[in-house]
Amino acid sequence: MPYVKRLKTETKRGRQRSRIRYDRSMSTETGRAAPCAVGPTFQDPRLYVEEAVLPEREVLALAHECGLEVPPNLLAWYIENGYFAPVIEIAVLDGPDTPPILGYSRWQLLPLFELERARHNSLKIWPDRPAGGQDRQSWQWQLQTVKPGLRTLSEDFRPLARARAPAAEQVRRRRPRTSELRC
Amino acid sequence: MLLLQNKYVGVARGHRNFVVEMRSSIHNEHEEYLRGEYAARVSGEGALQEVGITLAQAVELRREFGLRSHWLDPLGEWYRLIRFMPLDARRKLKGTARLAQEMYIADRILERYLSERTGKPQQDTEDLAGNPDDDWARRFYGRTKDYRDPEFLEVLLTQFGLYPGPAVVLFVEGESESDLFPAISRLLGYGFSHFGIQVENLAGVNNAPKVVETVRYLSRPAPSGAGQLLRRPLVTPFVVVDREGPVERGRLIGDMTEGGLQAYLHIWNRDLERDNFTAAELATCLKQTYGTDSTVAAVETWMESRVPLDKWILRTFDKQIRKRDLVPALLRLIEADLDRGDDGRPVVQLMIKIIRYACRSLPVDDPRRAGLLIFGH
Repeated sequence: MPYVKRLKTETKRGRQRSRIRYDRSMSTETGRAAPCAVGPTFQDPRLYVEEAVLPEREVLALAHECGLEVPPNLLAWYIENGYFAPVIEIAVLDGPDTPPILGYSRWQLLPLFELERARHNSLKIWPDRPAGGQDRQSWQWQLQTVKPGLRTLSEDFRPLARARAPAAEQVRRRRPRTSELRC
Repeated sequence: MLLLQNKYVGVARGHRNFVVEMRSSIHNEHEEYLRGEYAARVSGEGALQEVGITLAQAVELRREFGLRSHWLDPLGEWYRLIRFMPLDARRKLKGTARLAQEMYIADRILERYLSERTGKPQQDTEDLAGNPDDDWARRFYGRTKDYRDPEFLEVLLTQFGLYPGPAVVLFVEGESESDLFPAISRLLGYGFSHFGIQVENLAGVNNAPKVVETVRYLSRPAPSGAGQLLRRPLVTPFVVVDREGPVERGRLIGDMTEGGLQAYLHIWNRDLERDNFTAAELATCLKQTYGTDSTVAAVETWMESRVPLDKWILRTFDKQIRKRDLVPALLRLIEADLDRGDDGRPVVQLMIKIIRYACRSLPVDDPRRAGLLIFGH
């Protein structure tokens, strides 16, 4: 490809680049090149390795940009009750007592959106009534009746969640107590 | 998806001008991991086996994921248009629209992976609810969708009424015309920019063959595929020239007539001044502008001759003039006409005709344009 060749000759580090060139043999494409604007030299997976997972602060900031106002304590509640799980837990080897660093995927925003929608749709507040006079339904109760579509959508995260948090899976299946049905 | 994203997210996020630069500060451990363990995990059926689903289930999962993303997108009707935007522009969206854009990237990762695994192209996200064997875009646009093809972007811009090209390109001979014509348009209500009319000054007609080729290129309809649908709105080139003058002008007129482009040509009977203004009017304007002692009889004598105006003034009054200085005085005459409700002057009629071309309320008499379809018009 002449375009790629021109780029390679312009760079000062051409020799070093060519040494670590992307090897076609590791490609999953079997013989046929995918239609793509960039040549195979540039389809190198290492380009994006550093942002595969996001810390909680960044994923919540991204959720904010996407219109989801999720405070950290709500996220913690979702995780604790098995509706949501980080995709990775990185143990801190130097500090055994330090809690592991949790990593999230940006694609988890869709399950988060579904959870938030279920919560917003179920919570009804009567401003003229005191706390005791509100509906007996709460969003925590309503989340138990989330449609099966949500579970299907979360399927790609489920194996990870199952591996990382088996206890959370049990919590998810547990029927809510009557006391939890109150607001 | 986490597993696949390293390999595909670059392509999934990119747009048609997408070019990636190599990073040089990657550690060797990363390099070894990516070339060894990671490559083995994402190759073949490895990724699906790791997640524990079959290929059919993955196709169905992608379908549900993509459909859900498209349904929640408030800008779903503009999907094709927004997909052409670069990543930075898409990330300026807020709220659910931004969420949908993020999910589209995830969907494209799955799309690319599945098209490699199944060996056939997968549906676009917005088409997931439709029949996978039915290429509706070919029926609708006359071509398949290709988000890396600028010609497809032209079709979309035309469809959404955003195509920025001019409606009329007006070729004139000199500076006086290029000043006068937009001013007349402003007197009629709006300037040329309002109608999408561009004025190109030929600065003489010595480059006649180039003008003919340009007019031929601009007047040619740009179809989208095999049908009668256009990928961009019709552009109307229009050449306004005097009849009298050097040989090149005759060649220009002859070439355009022979090439079937006479519909895009306006020839004054003699020239702009002689065709549109009386001797008395011109005498007054000359006196106001240049301070020459030009009588009506003298101007009548000039009008009978074939000498250009500037040369006649140079010979008669020994004064070097610029013809464009005459434009304000001529405009005052035209403005007085329009105030009286008189738009019969030929140059005003010509401007009205060109504005109607630009608004596409008056079709050009060109058989190549018969039966063409265009979005939104």
